[in-house]
Amino acid sequence: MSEISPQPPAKDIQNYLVHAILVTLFCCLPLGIVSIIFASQVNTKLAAGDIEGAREASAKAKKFWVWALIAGLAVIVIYTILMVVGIAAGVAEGGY
Amino acid sequence: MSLKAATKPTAFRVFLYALLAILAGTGIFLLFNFNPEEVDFFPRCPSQSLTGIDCPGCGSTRAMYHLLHLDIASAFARNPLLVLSIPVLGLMAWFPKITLYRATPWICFTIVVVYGVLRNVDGFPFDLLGP
Repeated sequence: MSEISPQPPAKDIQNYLVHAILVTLFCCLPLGIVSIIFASQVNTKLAAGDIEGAREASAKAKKFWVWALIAGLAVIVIYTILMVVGIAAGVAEGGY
Repeated sequence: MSLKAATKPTAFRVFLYALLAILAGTGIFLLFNFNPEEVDFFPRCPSQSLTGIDCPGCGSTRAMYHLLHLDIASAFARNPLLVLSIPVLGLMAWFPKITLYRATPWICFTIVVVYGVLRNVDGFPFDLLGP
C-alpha cells in the first residue's frame, strides 16, 4: 500500500489506545485487544527510535480497531435483521 | 473497503461520521427508552452467545442503560470496568500524552485481560465483576 501523502513526523504517530479500549469494551471482540497490543508496540518502538516500526504498528493498531468496530456493527445489523425477520415470521404465524 | 476509503479526503469521511452519529443516536434513543433487562431485542454479546464466556465487554449494554439514567450503582453492577473506564478514557482523550507512555498500553492490556479472566471465576469477590 503506497501512501500518496507525505509521512507524518514521528511525534504525530498515533497509537489509537483510546479507540482500541472503546472497541474492546463496546464491540466485545478480541480484535480490540489486538489493537491494544499494537498500541503498546507503537510506544515501545518510538522509545527505541524505530520510527518506521512505530509507523507500521500504528497502522496495524488503526486497522484492528476499525475492523473491531466494523465487526461490532455487523453483528448489530445482522442481529437486527434476524430480529425483524423473526418478528415478521411470528406475526405471520400466530397473528390472525 | 472503508479502510482504504478512509484515507481518501473528506466526502466519504463525512458520510461515515454521519452514519456513525445516526447509529449512535439511534442506539442511545433505544437504550434510554427500553430497559435491556426487560426487553430482548438488544443484541447479545456474541462472545457470550458463542462460547458462554463473559468477556470484558459483557454487560455493557445494560450498564449503558443505567448510565443513561444516571444510576451509576446499577451500571457498576453490570460492568464495573466500563464505568471506571469512562473517566480514564476521557482523561486520555483530553491529554493524549498519557497514552504515549510506554507502560500505558500494557497496563490497559493487563487490566482488560485479567478482568476478563476474573469475571469468569465463581465465588466471592469475583461475582461482583460478573455481568
